[in-house]
Amino acid sequence: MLFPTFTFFAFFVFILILNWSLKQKPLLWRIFLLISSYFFYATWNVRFLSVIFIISLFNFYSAFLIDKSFQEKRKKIFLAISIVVNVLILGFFKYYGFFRESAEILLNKLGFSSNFLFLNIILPVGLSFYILRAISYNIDVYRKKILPEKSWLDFFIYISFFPQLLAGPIMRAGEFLPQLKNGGSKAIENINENFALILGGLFKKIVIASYLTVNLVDDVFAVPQNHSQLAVLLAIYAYAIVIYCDFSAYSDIAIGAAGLMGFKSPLNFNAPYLAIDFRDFWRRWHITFSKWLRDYVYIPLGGNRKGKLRTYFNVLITMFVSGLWHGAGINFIFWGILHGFGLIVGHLREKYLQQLSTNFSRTLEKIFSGFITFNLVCFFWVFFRAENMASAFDIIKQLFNWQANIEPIAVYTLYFIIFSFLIFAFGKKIQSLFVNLQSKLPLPLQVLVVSFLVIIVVKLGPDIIPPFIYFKF
Amino acid sequence: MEKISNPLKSVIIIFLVLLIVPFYESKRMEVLSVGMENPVLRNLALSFTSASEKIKLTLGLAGFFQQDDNFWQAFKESPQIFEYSVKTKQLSSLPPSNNSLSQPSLPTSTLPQISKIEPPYNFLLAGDSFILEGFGPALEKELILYKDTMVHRKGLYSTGLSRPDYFNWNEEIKKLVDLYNPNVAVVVFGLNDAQDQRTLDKKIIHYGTEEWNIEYGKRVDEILDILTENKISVYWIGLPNARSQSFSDKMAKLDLIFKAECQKYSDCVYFSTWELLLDSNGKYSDFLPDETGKMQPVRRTDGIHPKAYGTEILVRALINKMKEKIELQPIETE
Repeated sequence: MLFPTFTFFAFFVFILILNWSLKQKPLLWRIFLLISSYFFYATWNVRFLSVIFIISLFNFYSAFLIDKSFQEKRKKIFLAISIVVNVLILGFFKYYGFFRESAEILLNKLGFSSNFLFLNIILPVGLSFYILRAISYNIDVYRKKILPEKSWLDFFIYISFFPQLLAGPIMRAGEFLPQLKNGGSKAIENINENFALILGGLFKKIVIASYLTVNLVDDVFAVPQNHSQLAVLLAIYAYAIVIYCDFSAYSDIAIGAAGLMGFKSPLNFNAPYLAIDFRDFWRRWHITFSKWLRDYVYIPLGGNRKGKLRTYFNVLITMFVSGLWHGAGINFIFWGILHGFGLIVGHLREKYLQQLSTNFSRTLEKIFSGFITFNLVCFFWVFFRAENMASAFDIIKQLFNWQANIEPIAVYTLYFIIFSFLIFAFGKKIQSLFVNLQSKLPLPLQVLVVSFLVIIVVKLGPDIIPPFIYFKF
Repeated sequence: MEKISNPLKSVIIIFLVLLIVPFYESKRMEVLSVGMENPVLRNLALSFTSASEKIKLTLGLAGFFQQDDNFWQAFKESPQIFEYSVKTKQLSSLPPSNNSLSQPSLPTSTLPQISKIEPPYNFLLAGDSFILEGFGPALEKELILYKDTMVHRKGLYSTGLSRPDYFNWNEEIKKLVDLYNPNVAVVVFGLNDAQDQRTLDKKIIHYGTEEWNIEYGKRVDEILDILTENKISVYWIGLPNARSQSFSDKMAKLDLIFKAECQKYSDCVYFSTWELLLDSNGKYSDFLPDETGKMQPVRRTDGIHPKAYGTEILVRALINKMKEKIELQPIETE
């Protein structure tokens, strides 16, 4: 069941009615939340339910073992076991093929013949996201930030809560579990903001991301050799827009849908392409994941507490993990490491910035740095989008192929690219305009405004909408 | 009046939007409803869209909605900047412009028969997900390595010939022929077609019936007519077997139709992929040995689409087949 479909919203209106009707009976309400989340997941593949059930069960008890152990050493052992098991489950489903191939290549180079077992493994959609939730829960219990959840029902809901199940935001147990207590929130805060998020998400996904994917990005990235330099250049920038619009759309709809059910979710995107350097970018892009990396990888590695060189090393390792989490491929790891170097430059920039004396020079530097950061981020996406390193270099090579053909370019792709930049700059203003308008209108007119906007989105969207990009991670 | 609570308000808004939008977009909604897996939801949605159409007719609004659809369709047709300018090293001249669609169609038997295709070769690759990813891009990458070739590719997820109400490939092929002026076409359809057909006049033809086979054959025929009347040599790619036996059986039946229809045309070559991805026992396999004997994955996890080595096998075999009619010469590097 996909978010931008009639089926989802038909399901969701049914969920909303029961969600608000059952809140008076907290136990029934929570049972209902779990059943609806499992039903949502089962619509993808019933077999995935066994995976999420086992992971939930394992982590529910592992946190208890961590908490109940009196000796620090035992706590550490249980924590290590729980992390290793979670990572192994993720590794088995997501990276088995990659590690098998890599190991075979390595062994062959060393003169050994190897034939590891071939397995055709289906990655359960959303696994990478709920495994991160499970790991953060165990670590937070170990750090005594939270107590282990006593109710298995609440914990199972935390792992499987359907609006955020497939692609985040990655909520912490400490943020989510209290919202399940005593029947949860009895009112919707900022109803119009939630509708604005859902409508904005639909527009970004159905109109912008789908149009650019179908009409430019997919074709150019599949066979760059057969495209003009201009098409390749536009496809690189278009992909930067596609991935933002696609992923932030999912987050916005997830946050909006959860909001209408009375749940508060953390912000996941904050105009990332307006970042002034890479550090700023990661404070604005996939924020819940960046914070997860900071709290559970970067800081445990020592963060910035062990000297300059160690800080840079920690940054690189963290971004290596980020790359690997996104996909089983050298291109993802390379993308992560490139961002790691970008973050190191961001650290150095901060020191340089302190030396600038006037406000004017600081402003000028920020504009320049923002411009460079944006273009580098777009360029780095090439490695993220390409099927492998060779394809990524094909794209870059084609950018400089002065022999390339000239080909027709749809003018709308140019409009969409320009229009998308306006959204980066004025997205929040457009959102608050909608919120202000809706809050002044009577209910019948609010319905008409929302309907009108949905119809515009449907009219502008292509006949066939590609799936969300982040589902494959 | 008591103020409505926000939860109730949110339910009312979504519920009414769910009525208004499908009412306004009833035609599109009808097309989407047919594809819904849940029979209860599908029947509900179909009844709703049918009622919407009737209401529009009764209120005399059908014309307005038709105009509105036409406006948006026209609006979405993007103008283009630049025209094709092809490097001389690859393509010395554009193909002769003799493929106007307005030409009267000739009976198949009187069509000029092209045994050998003359360069330059302007390829059109069209079809479903097979063309969109994996096989299509791999073939495109391979073809552009030869002299005097130009390749255009159009692949779309979840499309086929069974549901022209959802996506009309016959119309799309006409557009593509007009736009690109190809002289060789490689087409793949069928992966999404083992379902009830729905004609443009909304007639439903149930899958598995003889009527279904006849109607499907007609659609294949129409595409072949469009292509061959425009002097385009066609390579019709058959479907491979699949991990699921029932799906394999369905694909085998479609292959029979493709082969039978293709054989009616002298300019159509049916290219079977079935046996190319079988193991030495003639069975489906996720893995096949490469030249060195090392096992390589050939299928994706869906057990249908080919993986990198699988596409390599298919493309290599197809290029060899093409060489019988097309003089594919590698581009000499300077």
